[in-house]
Parts: sequence; C-alpha cells; structure tokens
Amino acid sequence: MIRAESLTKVFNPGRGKVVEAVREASFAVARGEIFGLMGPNGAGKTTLLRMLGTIITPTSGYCLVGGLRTDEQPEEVRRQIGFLSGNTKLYGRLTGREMLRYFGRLYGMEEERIKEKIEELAGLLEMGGFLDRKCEGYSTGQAQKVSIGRVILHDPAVLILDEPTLGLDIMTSRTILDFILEAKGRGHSIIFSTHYVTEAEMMCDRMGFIHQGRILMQGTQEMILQETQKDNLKDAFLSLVDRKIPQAI
Amino acid sequence: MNFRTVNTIVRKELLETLRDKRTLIAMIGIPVILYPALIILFGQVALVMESKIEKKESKVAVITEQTVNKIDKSGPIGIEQAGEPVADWIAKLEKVRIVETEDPNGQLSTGKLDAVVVVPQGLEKILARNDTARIILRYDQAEEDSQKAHNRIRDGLRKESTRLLEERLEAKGLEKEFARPLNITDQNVAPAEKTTGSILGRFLPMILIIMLGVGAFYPAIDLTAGEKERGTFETLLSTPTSKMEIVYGKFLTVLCISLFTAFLNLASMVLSVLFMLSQVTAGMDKGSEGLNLSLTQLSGGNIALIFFILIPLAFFICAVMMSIALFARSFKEAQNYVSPFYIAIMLPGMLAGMPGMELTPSSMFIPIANVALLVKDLLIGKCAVEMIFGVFLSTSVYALLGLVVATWLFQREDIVLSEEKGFPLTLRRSEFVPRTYPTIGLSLALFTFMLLLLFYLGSYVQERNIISGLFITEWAILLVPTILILWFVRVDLKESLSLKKPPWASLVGVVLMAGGMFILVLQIFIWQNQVIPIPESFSEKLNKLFEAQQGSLQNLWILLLAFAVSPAICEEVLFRGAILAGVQSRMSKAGTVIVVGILFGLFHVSVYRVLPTALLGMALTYVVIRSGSIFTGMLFHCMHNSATLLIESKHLPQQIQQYIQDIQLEQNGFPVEVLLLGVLGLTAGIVIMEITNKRRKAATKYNNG
Repeated sequence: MIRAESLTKVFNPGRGKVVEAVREASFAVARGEIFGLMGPNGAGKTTLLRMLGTIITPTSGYCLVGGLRTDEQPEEVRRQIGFLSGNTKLYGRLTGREMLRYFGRLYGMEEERIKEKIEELAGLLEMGGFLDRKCEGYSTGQAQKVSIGRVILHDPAVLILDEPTLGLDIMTSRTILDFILEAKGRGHSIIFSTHYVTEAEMMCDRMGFIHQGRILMQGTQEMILQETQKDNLKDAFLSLVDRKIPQAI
Repeated sequence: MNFRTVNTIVRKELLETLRDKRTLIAMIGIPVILYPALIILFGQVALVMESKIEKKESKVAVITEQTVNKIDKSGPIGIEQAGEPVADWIAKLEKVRIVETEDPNGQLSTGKLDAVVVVPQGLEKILARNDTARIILRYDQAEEDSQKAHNRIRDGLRKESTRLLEERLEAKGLEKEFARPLNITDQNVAPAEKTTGSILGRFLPMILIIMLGVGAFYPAIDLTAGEKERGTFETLLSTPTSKMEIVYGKFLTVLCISLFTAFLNLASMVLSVLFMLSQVTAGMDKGSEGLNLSLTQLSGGNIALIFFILIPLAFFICAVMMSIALFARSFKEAQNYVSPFYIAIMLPGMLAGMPGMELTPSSMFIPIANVALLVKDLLIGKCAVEMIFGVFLSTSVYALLGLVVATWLFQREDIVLSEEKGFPLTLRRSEFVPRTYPTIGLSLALFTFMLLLLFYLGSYVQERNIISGLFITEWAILLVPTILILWFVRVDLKESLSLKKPPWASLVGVVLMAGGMFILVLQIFIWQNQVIPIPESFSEKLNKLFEAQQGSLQNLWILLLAFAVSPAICEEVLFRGAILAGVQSRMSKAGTVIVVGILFGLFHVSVYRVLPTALLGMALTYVVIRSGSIFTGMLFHCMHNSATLLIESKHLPQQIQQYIQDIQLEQNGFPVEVLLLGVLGLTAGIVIMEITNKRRKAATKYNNG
C-alpha cells in the first residue's frame, strides 16, 4: 500500500547551511498493517511523514501510495490519505461539525454522505457533547478526537498519524487507540509515530527506529529484540543509538 | 482546478472571517458607524458653535492714537475714551458694544475685550480736509470671538467709508461711477456638479484606495500568516485541494471583503456628505451666494464605473498584501510587513489629488495613481473611453502579476511551512540569539524605521540648513541608528555589512559600471522629466544652492563631502549592508538586487527620483553581491553622486561644460554614441564583476578545502 524508496529531505535554511532531516529512508506498509515509527524528538519522524503525506516534496527518492507517486500525483494521493500531525490543527472559529463538513466537501464527498459520516463518528469517538461548539474552546482531547474524525471522514486507504496520543489523558488515548485498531481491522494501512514504547508494543505489527534522519532498523518486535539481543524495545533502541554513534565518527 | 472546491473554500473563509471581530470593525464598524457619527457630530457641533459666536455681543474699546502712545510709554494714565464720530458709527452696529476701559491692550490680550479700534487724533479735521484717516483694528486672530468682532467692525466701517466717499463725490458734483472705473463681476461657468466633483476628486480617490486597503488588510493577514500561526495550513494542505484552489479561494475571500468595505465606505460617505450638505443649505439663507454644490454627478452610471475600475485595483492590492503576509509566521509579524505597503498605496492616491496631475497616455500606466486620476476625472464628468479602457487594462495587468506572484509563493513549501522563530517581541539584548545575518523581517523593519526618521527628522534638519542637515541626516540619523540596532540584536557586523577587502580587479569593474550607469541613469531621468516634469521649485532649490557655492573650491570640497562621500558611506551601510543581508537570506540573488534596488529608490522619498535611484540601487546591490565587499558599493555610490554634483554645480572642466551646453542635455538627453558608450561601460563592468566573482569563489573554495 505504501512504499518509501530512499527518501531524503534536505533543508536549506539559507546561506550555505544545509540540514539533512531525513536520509535514504526506505520501508513498506501492507494493507491492514500498522507500521510504527519510533525515535526521539528531531529524529526526522515528522519530516518523513510529511513527505508521505505530500505536504513537502522529497529532495531525492520517492514514495508510492496505492501505486501512485506522491511527487507526480499529489492530489490523487491525498485523496487516499488521512494525515494527522501536531501541525494539523483545527479552525478555531469554526465548530467541530463545520470543520468536519468543510473537510468532507474538500474531499469531494456528497452532502448526505458527510452528514451520515459525521453522525457515525460523533458516536464512535464520543464527540456529541462538543461538536457544535467552536473549536477554539476545545480541550486537547476534544480537539484530537475531532482531528481523528477529520482524518477518517473520507474513508482513506492510508492513515498517517504523527504522535496521535501526544498530551492526551489515558481515557482519550484509549478511545483513539481503539479507534485506530478498529480501522486496521477494516483494512486501513496505518503509519503511526510515537514516543511511547508501550503504545508501540501494543499497536504495531512492524516498526522502524529512526535517529538523526536515518532508519536504523526495522522489522517486527521479535525481530528487533532478537537482532539487538535485548528483552525490551527501549533497550533495543538505546543500544542501536549507541552502536550508531561510533560509526558516524 | 475545481470551482466547486474554490467555492467551498471561499464560503468557509468568509464564515470564519465574519466571526473575527477585527475584520468586522474594519469592514463595517468604520464606514457604518464612524463616518456618519463623525460627520454628523462635527457638523452639529460646528453649527452650534457658529451660532453661539454669532449671537454673542462683541466688546470693543475705541481709543485715540495719542492715548496709545501714552499707554505704550508709561502705562495707562487717564485714558480718553474718544474717537468721535467713529464711536458713534460702531455704537450703531448690531451686537457690538463699546466698553470703557483703563487698559485696552491688556484686556484684549486676556480676552476681556474682543477688539480695540484706534482712531487718529482730530479725525474730524482729517475728514474735513478730504484726507485719509488711518483706523487701526486690533484683534486677536487666534480667538474666534475676536475675529467675529473684527469682521463686524470692519464691515461696518467699510460701509461708512463708502458713504463718506459718496458724500465727497457729491460735494464735488461727481457721480458714484467716477470712483469706480471698472466693475469686475465673477461668473463661474462650472455647473454645480463639476464644482462638487472637483472638490470630491481631491480626496475621494485616496479614501477609496485607503478603504480597499483597510478592507483587505486583516483578512489578507488572517488567511495567510494567521492560518500559519494557528497551525491549520498543514491541515488544509493534507486534503486533495490543489495549491491553486487554495490561493484562489483565499484570494477571492479577501477581494470580496476589500470591495465590500470600499463599497460600504463609498455609500456611507456619500450619504453622510448629502446629509451634511442638507444641513448646511438649510442653515444658509435662500439665494445667498454659498458654494454651489450638487451631488447629481455621483449618481448611477458614474458610481458603477468607479466601482468597476476599483475591481482590478482591489485585485492588485489584495494579491500584494497576501503575498507579503505569507512571508510572516505570525499575525503580528505580518502586520509589520504589510503596513509599509499599506502606507505606500496612499502616496499615489495623494499624488492624484495634487493640482496639475492629469490622466495622460503615460500616467495611465502608473499603478494605483492611474485609478485615482481616473476616479477624479469621472467625478468631474470628464472621461474618455480610451482612458477608462487603458487604466482598466494596465491595472488588470498589475493585478494579474500580483496574483501570479501570490500563487507562486503559495507553491513554495519553505515559505508556506516555515517554522523558524519570529522576531522576539520583548526587547532585551540578552534575549537575542547571536546571528551572522539579520532576518528579512529585521531588514524591512529597519528600512521602515529609517524612512520614518528621514521623513520626520531628516527633512526638518535639512530644511534649516541643507549642508549641515545632510551631514546630520547621513551620519547621525542613518548610520548611527543602523549600527546600534544591528549591534543590539546581536548581528555579526563584519559579516552582515560585508566589511571585507574587495578583489582589486573588481574595482576596475565598479569604475566602468559607475561611468556607464551615470550616463544611463541621467538619460532615464531626462526621459522621465519629459513625461512627468519635475516641479520647478524642486530643481530650483538645488540650483540656487549650487549657484551660491559656485567658483569656490573650498566649498566644493564641503559639497562633495555632503553630497557624495557621506551618502556613499552611510546609505551603503544601511542598504548594501543591513538591508541586503536580510533580504538575501530569503531571496535569490536576482530577487535581492531588484528588491534592495526598489527599496533604495523608495527611500529617496521624491516621486521623481524613485525610478532612477531604484536602477542605481540595483547596480549598487549587484556590485556588492558580486564583490562580496561593501566598499565597492561605496566607491560606486561616491563616484555617481560626485559626478551628479559636478554636473549640477557646473564644476566640470570647461570643454565638458561646453559640450553639455552644445547638446542641450536637459532638453535632448545624450546623443546615441554617448549612450552606447554608457551601455558599453556598464557591460564591460559587469563582465569584469562576473569574472572576479568566479575567481573569488574559486579562491575561497581552495582556501576552505
């Protein structure tokens, strides 16, 4: 469903300075699979996901979503994607319902369908109580629920979720994680980045460790533990980072 | 592009904008509430005050000239209240009361008296021998009561004077007509509509342009920088909407609001003015000769035409404002960027209001000013179809250009998604992060700030004395604050001001370019002068200065220091140092040359110098970028200004001076061969700059590697 091939993104903040945010990242996600992306802040997770979401174009390499290249047919690709990150906020002056309706229209959905879908999501994500209030008054959890609703509204084949549970209480986290698992059950391919090791253990079929713009290792949980000879993901990750640094020098 | 999507975006943006109080106030609050309130309130207050003054009795003292002398010498000693028969005449006047007083002058200055009439001693004798008696009316022009008293007495005494004249004529057996050989009568052939139109034409175009700007200002920022700041841009970009659809949706929203604001303003202003006129005419006696005003010209067709021509202008203003705002990362930052443009669009509007500015085939293409001039013409009912077409066409071209730029900027992810921290708002030096180059925001802010300083302080000191004023402007007003500000925000002065030794060969290039450029810029200035002549007073003032200094070699050195050396150092530090460094951090080299050049042109405040100085500025920017050293810019600038000074002050060698006179430079410009020489010099200079630049780059690479 998703295939990233040697994705590289270089930023030029001006005057000869060059920042290599992502370097030669390659991986694939199958239908109905959750792929977890793990790494510290500034590792390049968001940049990588932004490239998959066609928000930014890769400096080199390419990615395929549903067989379409993101750099060649970005609009068609976006139709098949639901993209959520810390930078995809809600319109404060619109209500949650207006917000969802607006995005439904942008995805070219029929008015009837939008209405049905909003009702359905309001039930699933427990949004009934606040959907008709303006978004600027939402709590973090309420806002995230509406954002999740926005991502799934047009029933995309691929969900790209950048730290969807960041800053949420356990109750809301559980609602959202359950919702993601359910989406997986319905055959959505999901890329999911997170800080939380336990979340990754619980959610991901396969995962990739990213550090300083490079994917250090990827595979199933068992594979990674075996490869690093550790008994938990945290230690596995730390050992990979330690192994990586001497090589860089 | 899908129009349904654009429509969806417009509807959502409008809904969101209408929920923003700032926009609502600018869009509806100002025109609907503020104007009528202001106009009605001021009108009413003025009427009330007027009638109050009208009703009030004027208190007047009548004294003789001798008394005045006494008072002046040794204070008031036994004043004779005198001046028969003047006192009688004044006493007869309505609402004037003669007051007896010890200290008339003192009381006049404290406002206890409204006027003092000084009558010569022996007035009756003077009149009896058919002589002229001088009567002095002392009043305080700053006091309205005193003015009123002055008018009342003056009118009354004039009537008496006429009566006396008639008596004298009669005594000599002459007719009244004897003393009035010519009877001059005014007849204004302008119909009432035209008079109204020409009065409206002075300010309405500017107000309309300002209102388009006011209407566009907040939405243009809110829909671009505001959306960035609130972090919703990426949400929008994740949908299958194309960038074009987003730009057009947003743009149409801003346009609608801008036009709606302008329309509301136009309507509100017309209604308020009509209301005020009805008040004024109701207050005036019927048939009295007041201003012959009518608003019939402002009906139907012309309002529609004015509105029609405002559409492409609004297009242009909205597109530029959105493009500028897109560079900012926050609402506040965007306000700083857009404000200068907002001020800049007022200038052409003001230009159109100046006497003598007319719509001509050449002024038809000056953006913004052309629309202002056309509106002015439409208001006085003078409009040629080809002019309307020409203005509409050229404005549409500018509008399209603006839209193209806006669309292009929206496509750039580095601009739309930039997340770098903005300009810190608190002002403590320790809070600034040391950096090599200033940000573009800082550079633009610096430009605006310096422009304001120049405008207020610079023009003041130069008005007092041009030479010392120039020195103060350049060193104290431009150079010192520029360096202090850069130091304060912890920018590396040596790097950002390019304080480096230039490659020697590049100096040859600079000299060649400066020579060529001088000829070409002067030629363009002469061409421009044929299209928009410079008002005499401007060039006269300079010429007078030069004439005064002519011949004296010592003064020439001072002039060179003031006009050439100081600007070359100080203006270069500001423009090719601070501003260039900031602009270059966000733009390509070509873009930097153009932007810094235009800013340099605008900095010379006078409309007549924008184009030539902008071109000069571009050349200066180019040499500094290519040589990597600000000193090349200084050399270039100094050469250019020196040459201008020498030619203006006629200090050139005899042969050249004679040659300039022979070819009649000011009328005809340079002959073709000289122009070719200029082009040749410029090209040769550029070639040398390019070569030395390549060698310099190669050398630095070698040194670093």
